[in-house]
This record gives sequence, structure tokens and C-alpha cells, in this order.
Amino acid sequence: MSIKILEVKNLKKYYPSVKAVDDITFSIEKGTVFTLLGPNGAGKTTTLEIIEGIKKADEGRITFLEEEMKHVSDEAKQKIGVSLQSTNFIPHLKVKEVFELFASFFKKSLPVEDVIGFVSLEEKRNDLVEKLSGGQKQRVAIGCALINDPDMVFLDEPTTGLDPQARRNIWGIIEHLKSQGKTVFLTTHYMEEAQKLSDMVCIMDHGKIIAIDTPFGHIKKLGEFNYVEFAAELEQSDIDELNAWDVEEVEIEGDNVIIPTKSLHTVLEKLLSWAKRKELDLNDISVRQPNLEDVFLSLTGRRLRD
Amino acid sequence: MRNQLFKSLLISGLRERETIFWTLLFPLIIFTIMVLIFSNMTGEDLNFKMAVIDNSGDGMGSTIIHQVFEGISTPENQEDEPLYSIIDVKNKNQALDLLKEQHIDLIVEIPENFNQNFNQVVFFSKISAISSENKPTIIIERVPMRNLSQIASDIMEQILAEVNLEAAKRMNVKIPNASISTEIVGQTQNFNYADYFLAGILIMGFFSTGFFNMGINMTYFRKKGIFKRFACTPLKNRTLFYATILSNLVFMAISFVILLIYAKLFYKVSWAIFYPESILFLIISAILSLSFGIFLGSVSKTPNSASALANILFFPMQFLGGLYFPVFDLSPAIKWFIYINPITYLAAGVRQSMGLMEAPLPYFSLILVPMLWSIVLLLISVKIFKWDGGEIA
Repeated sequence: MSIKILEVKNLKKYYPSVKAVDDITFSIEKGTVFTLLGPNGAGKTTTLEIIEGIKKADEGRITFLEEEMKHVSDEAKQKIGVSLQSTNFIPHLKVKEVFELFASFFKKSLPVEDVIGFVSLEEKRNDLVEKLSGGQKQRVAIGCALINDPDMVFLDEPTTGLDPQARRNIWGIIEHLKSQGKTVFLTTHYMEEAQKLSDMVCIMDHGKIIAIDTPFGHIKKLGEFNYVEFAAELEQSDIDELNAWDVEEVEIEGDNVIIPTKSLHTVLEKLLSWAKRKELDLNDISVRQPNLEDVFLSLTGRRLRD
Repeated sequence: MRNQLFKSLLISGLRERETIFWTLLFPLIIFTIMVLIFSNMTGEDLNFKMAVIDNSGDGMGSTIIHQVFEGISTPENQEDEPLYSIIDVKNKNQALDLLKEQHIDLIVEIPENFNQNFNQVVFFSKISAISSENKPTIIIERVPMRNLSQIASDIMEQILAEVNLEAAKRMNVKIPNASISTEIVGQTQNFNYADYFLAGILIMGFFSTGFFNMGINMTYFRKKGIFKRFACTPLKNRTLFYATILSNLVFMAISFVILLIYAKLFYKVSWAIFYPESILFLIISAILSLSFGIFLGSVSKTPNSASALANILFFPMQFLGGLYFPVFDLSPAIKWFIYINPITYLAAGVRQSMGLMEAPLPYFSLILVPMLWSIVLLLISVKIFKWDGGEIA
């Protein structure tokens, strides 16, 4: 039987001009990776910061490890680890000193050298944090979140702004945490990140939860669609012709054309002969499976990156 | 927890070049500059070099003059420098060359007929008037446009005037019985500019720590989300507050010790700064400077705005607070600022406690005004301070 480590009920946070978090309810099972996915301004960080105790909720209840509270209490903070969206440290401290400082905040903590090893910063332990690269700094931030051997780790957009290699390093750390049975609460606006790492994905937009499911469950709800993509300069009349086929609504992004269809073979054959007849060049033609980006598009009518 | 945080804040500060310069080195530099400028302007520790050309041969007059010169070129204490040092020269031409090249500050020439004229004055002054060309005259030569030469010459004229006066008294010649008497009010020990500036610059060092270290760092920590990150841990706000205060106090203590050692070694300042009342005023200075730091950290949203506000407040406060020069006689147009400026009271309080200068203010006000400032600043800060835009639960 699964154990719920965190339950959030009817959480609200309204600002004068915006409903940042608008009556959201969800729960997280122990040992899973739960991801809040949504575009910038969706309310992910506000939700996370209310739970972490940084912001006050207007309404709502949080239950953490079966203890109900308005936000995470000081006692509960002993059992969580947090990496904020943008983390800075006291300037001019070395990596090891930053970990020692954070270790001092908790009743129990892991040996600093173990954490340095876990985030692969052995060679940087005596370097000043401000001299590190973006990816290395992010690993320091995650290391600080793990220093107290927490039951639950909150990672707010841990890979934003990192290069692909650094991003994969962070993914490796999260997968390692999951393998250790830690519960991870992740926020991201990268759909591939959510899809790769998550057990549950909660899609948020405009402060509301619009869907919660496993990545596969979300995609399955889209139906048996495939996506044919190519680059071409089309007239409106061409697009109207394509929409008349057995497809969902054709999407245009600049020169990119995306055709969602359940009849892949038929549409592909028709497309090639249609292009030949019209003497159109179809560049970078490809076929792909649906992903969470398509899920978000189908739910909101917008892409995540819009 | 508190120890580690305090240690981290201290290490961070000690690795910050700007902090080291402004809070630890700058007070030494400004102290040295101020003491050098003001001591020399007033003649303290001055040593003038002069050449004496005696063309008069042996005689009573020149003997008296030589005894006077011997007196002024011999210091009271052996370790001190004399006011005048007599430089040996072969002839007047060599002396003139040395004067032009600024190796000496003046030449005193006793003319050939000096003893003869001196004797005439001694023997005939009571029975006949002495014509001006027969008066014994000493020639002083100096270089124009050189302050030290001018000062050396003026002092020498004063000394010789005193010699004339004394000689006239001894010969019972009737002279106007007037002399200048200077009395220093409220000074209980020998005035020393190094002590005067030590008091002022210690306070300046404390306030630069409060304004520029504590105030700006607090806004930096908030702006960069460091407070926010701490808020996600079990760290209590009061622990963070105490550690911040303590690390800044240690900075002040380091600044105090370094400046004191430097001033003691090179400028022989007194131990008066350790009088209990002096220490009391230094403690009040530390409290007030930290209050200003907390106030700055509360009202400023960014380190840049904190820095701008710190400069706007700190520079007029230190210059018009009597840290470097007396301010109570300044123009009435700025007197209001001097009297509302808490540094005025602290500087006056420390100096009075050190026995350097009587403050023209009631004693209770020297303590009360800075403390009131501190209380008001802290109350405002408590009201408006935000760890993180007012959102931390």
C-alpha cells in the first residue's frame, strides 16, 4: 500500500493582479518523483515556496508525514531538502564550507565528504562557489538540499539555464535519489525532463492544475496519434487542403508544419504525392510519438514554451 | 549552528577585498594622513634646521645669543627631537646654498658689530637714547614660498623678542609690562593630534563597518535569495540576526586593534582610549553603527540603493560630526545638522573621556542622543524589515 508523504488541499495564493495559486489539491506518494510541469508564470514556484515555508498561503492545508500544517513547520524542515530556482550562497565560501554551514542547520546531517561525492564535486571541494560553472553551482545547491538526508527533496527548476551535459548530470542525480527511495518534488518547464524523470506529472497553468497523471497516462489520453513534422513554405490554401485529410488540426510554427494523425501510413503517402504534384520541397521530414508538449497543447491550446 | 554561521559570515567578510580595505586598511591610511597634515600644521614634532653665522667674535651679546640657541636646540627629553637643530657650515655662502636647496630652513647671522652695539645698549640705555643704527641686530634669512622656512623664521623672531624682553627686565629698563598668556581650557593632559584622530577614526571605522558591511550585505543577501534559502532550513531568524551582528562586531574589534597597535607603535598615542568612559562611548558607537546598518538593510531594496544611501548619509555625518576637526564653531547655516548628527556627540564624548577636549554639550546628551537615534532606527527597522519581500512565513 502506497504512503502519502505530502498532501495539499485547496491551496490558494492570490495577488492583487493575479491568482498565483488557485485552489489546487494534490498528493505525493513516498519514494516517487512528482513533477509540476507548466510554463513560466503557471504558479509552480509559488506552490513550491508555500509548501517550503517561504511564502504564506491565503487558504489551504498541507499534510506532511501525516502532520497537518499551514506550511512546513520548523520540525518538518528537518526532514526536507530544498533547492530553489535561483540559489546563491554567502559569497567567498568554498564548496566544502557551504556544505558545512548547511549541515550545521540540521539536527542530523550526512558527512560532508559523502555529499560532495554524491554530487561529484570532489575536485572542487576547496574552490570558491562563485568560481564554479552554472552546472557545478546547481550541484552545490542540490548537495545542500541533501545534506540532512531528507525524506523529501524539493527541486525548483534545477536544470533551467544549464547546457545539455550539465542537465544530464542533474538528471543522473535525481534518478539516483529515486533509486535510494527518496521522494522528489520537481518543477520544470522542460517536457522531456518531466517525461524522463517523473512518476507523476501535474500540469499547471494560470495557477490551476489542469491534469495529473503518469507521463504515459497523459499521453495515452491523447489517443493513438502520431506526429508528422516537416519544414516548408505553405500558403493558407495548402494548409486548408491538409486539414481536409484524416488529421487533427494542422499546426504551423514558422516554417514548421506539424500534422497530428491516427492514420500515419495513409497521411504519409498522401503527403509525399501531394508535395510532388505541387512541386513543394519538404525539408527535415520526421515522424514522432506524442509527448507532454502535445498533451499541454491539447489541454491549453498553447505550447509550453509560448 | 550559530557558531558555524558566524564563522562563515566572518570568513566571507575577511575574503572580501573591499571589506578589508574599507574597514581595516582605510582607517590606517586616513589616520596617517590626518596626523601628518595636522601635526605639521601646528608645529607639533617640528624640527627646524638652521645655520648660525657668527661674525661678531667673542663678546657678551653673542655669548647670550649662543646660550639661547643652545637652549632651543636641546630637547627636554632626550628621546625627543629639538625644535631647532643647528647645522654646521663653513661660511655664509655654503649656508645660502643649503637654504636655497631646502636642506636648512633659515640662517641666523650675528653681524660683525653686534657685540659692540650690545655693550652700548647695556651701558648707556639708562642715560641716553640709542639710535636705531646702533641697536644690536640679528639677521634672519629665509626662503620665500616655503611654509617651514616661514614658520621657523616667525618662531625665531618670537624667541628673540622674548630674549629682548628678558634682557630689558634684567637691566631695569622700563618697558610696557605686557605679555601674552595662553590658557587651554578643559584639557587635562597634553594635547596630541594622534590621540585626537585616533578617537575620530575609530568611530569612522565602526561606522563604515555598520554602513558598508552590514547594511549593504543585508540587502545583498536578500536580493540574491540567501535569506530565502536559509528560510527553507530550520535556521531561526534570530540566530541569523545574532550571527550577523556578532560577525560585524568582530570586524569592528579587529579594526580597533589594528588601528590601536599602529597608532601606538608609530604615533605613540596614549592609553586614554581604554578609560572606562571612552570604552562606553565606543560601545555606543558600535551599537549605533549597527543600528544604521540594520536600518539601511531594511529600507533599501538592492545593494546599489543601499550603497547610494550609505554614501549620502555617511559622508556628511562623518565630516560634520567632528571626527576630523572641531565643528562647534562652524557656520550657523549647518549647525542644525551638527546638533542632530549623532556622531557629533560620540566624537565629543570619546574625546572628553580621553581628556583631550571638553565637549560644549551636557554630558547626558553625549549618551542620550546617540542612544535615542539607535532606538528610533531599530524601531523603524523592526517595522519595515523584510527577510524576503515580506513573504517568508
